Amino acid sequence: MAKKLTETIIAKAEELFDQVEVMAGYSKGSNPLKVSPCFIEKKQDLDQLIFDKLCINNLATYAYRLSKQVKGNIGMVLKPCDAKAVNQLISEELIDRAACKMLVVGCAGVLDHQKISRHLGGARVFSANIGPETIEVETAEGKKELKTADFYADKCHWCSISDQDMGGDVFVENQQKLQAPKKDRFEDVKQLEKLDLDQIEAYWKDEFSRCIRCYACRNVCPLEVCQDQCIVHLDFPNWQSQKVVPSENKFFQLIRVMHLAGRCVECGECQRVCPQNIGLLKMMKKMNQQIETLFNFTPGMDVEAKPPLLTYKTVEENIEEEELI
Amino acid sequence: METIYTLKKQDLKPWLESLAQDSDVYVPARDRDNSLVDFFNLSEIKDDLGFGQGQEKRYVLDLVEKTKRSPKQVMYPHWEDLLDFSYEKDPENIEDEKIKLSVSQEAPNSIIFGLKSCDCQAIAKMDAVFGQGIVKDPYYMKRRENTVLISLGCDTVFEDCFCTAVGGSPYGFDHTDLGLMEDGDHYVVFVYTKKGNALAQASNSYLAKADAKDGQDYKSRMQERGRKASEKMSSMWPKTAVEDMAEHLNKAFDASQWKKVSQQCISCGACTFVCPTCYCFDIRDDKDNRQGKRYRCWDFCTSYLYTLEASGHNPREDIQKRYKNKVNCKYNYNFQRQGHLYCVGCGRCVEVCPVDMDIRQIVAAVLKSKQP
Repeated sequence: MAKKLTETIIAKAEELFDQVEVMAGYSKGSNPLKVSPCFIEKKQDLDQLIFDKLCINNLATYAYRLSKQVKGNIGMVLKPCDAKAVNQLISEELIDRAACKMLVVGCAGVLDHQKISRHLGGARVFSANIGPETIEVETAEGKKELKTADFYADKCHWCSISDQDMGGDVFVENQQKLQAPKKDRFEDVKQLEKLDLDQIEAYWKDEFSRCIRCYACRNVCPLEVCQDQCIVHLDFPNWQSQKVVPSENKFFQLIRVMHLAGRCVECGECQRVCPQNIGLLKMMKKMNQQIETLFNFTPGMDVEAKPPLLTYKTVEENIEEEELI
Repeated sequence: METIYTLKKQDLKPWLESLAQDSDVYVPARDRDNSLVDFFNLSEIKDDLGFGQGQEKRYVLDLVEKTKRSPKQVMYPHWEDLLDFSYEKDPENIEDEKIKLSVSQEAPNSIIFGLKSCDCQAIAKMDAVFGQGIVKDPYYMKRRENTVLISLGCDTVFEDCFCTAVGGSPYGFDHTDLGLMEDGDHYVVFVYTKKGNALAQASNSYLAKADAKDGQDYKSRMQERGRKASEKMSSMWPKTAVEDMAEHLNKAFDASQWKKVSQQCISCGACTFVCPTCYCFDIRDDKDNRQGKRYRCWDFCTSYLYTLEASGHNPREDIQKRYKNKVNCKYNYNFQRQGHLYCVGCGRCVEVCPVDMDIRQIVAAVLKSKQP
């Protein structure tokens, strides 16, 4: 099935290729559980493209970068959830809709290779055969059979757009439908909110005591486009100390959250790439929850919609104004 | 040093705890809450640390898995204060302002237990950076002098390991003070340095001297174990000798391949910060009104800001140049400068890379592009 899907994607990419200078897609990774982002500049290289359940990376990470590097159009292979990030970039006028050709592929859910790798204790993997029900892996420690349902990326458990075209240029339908078991998107946020403030404070202090400030979370984010001029590195004024202590680490994350308010599409890349397994997405989800209640807005769903924090209304429906004395 | 000791496994805990009485002992442990393995200060987690499986403790000693971060931060912390400064006015002449400086540095006695041979090699490379040349780094060297290294032979090949490809070996004990080999219900302890000898002699209630015959036997078994472990790891660069790599990379400096292999890099510092041999730092001031601290903190060469000059010019503006520098620094420049590669094959950078960049494949691809 995956093979046929890949063939369709390559065929569609070939059709699209005349209009673009470079095509971002997925190719074989450095080990059987990983895929690698690739950038194709020649039509004959399109057969490197693959698409399977391991394609967890959000290639929209490269949308803004590529649009600055390349004179012509860029093409991208995107899952519907990735396309949300591109849509958001378009609605903020950070990239030009016409210069970005989106090849959106219907998604049956993607697997988090780190979850699998952790389950296997980091053992060397020789081969992996991934089916909708089971994953057969051959490792240095022997053969193992795992249940696919246990290893989906978190975001797949509450995805509702897996077969939508998200306004892309080409849509490739996936015969397989989303298979990840349904879960509550705010479950972890709710768990945390049950605690009292001191406990929440202690929880985050513990999480951020591990942060190594590698900035992978910031750099992988498709919407954090100003990372080369980021205020956390400024000398004058020195907003943020470079000392790696929990309070400063938390401050850095709060800057991220604030700068992504009403923009974050919850692709989960920040949490996925964190080398220290910090639960960053909880913060983003909480912020999005606020934005949804206050402004009834979900980022990345509509390129025409104005993001609420980039505009203003004289009267906000859901914000009670304090009376002026 | 020829002395060989044995340590019963059940004595490991009391031994480490006795060492922790006058040193900071760092042990590799898994944190159950987030499934990370890291080096922890034993006295900080003592009550929450379980030795062996089946104990309901937050941390479990893990002598198999590779730690996520390298142990370099014990001697070369992520950030450290270099000096305190304050501006003080002369009460006689208020126009006159003096800068007052003071330096305070802590360098506690430390023991790092359970080092893998790759990490040990890496510490030797760090020593060369901070301890050779005209100016020695007093901050690093003081900590280093007060640190004892205890390694443990490594029998597990992890997904990203490639120490044998860069001249290492899983039982390479050449830079350690004490080397341990697991053997049934005990550990065999090999002494390599004066520091190690002193520590072993001070631990005589836990370590038992092996007699000459057993010692010979342990030694040959250790070599055999090392050979087997090396065999398990297949070399990634079979055709290029480590010695030739610098030359090959010089020739490949303008190879077209660089663009292709570095294009996916997102310029984060994950690989640098988990690397046991990356040593670059930045110096900054945290100033509050008229006083402050000057400190240094790790820097990463894949960052746009790393080479940004005050004029606004950036000689390594795009990621291709930055990544090329990173690879050359490890496999070329430092080989020419220090005589050995600045990569020990621990594979941490491969493991943490958010976008699946594998430095082995990248080097191989670049070298291939220049070969006939």
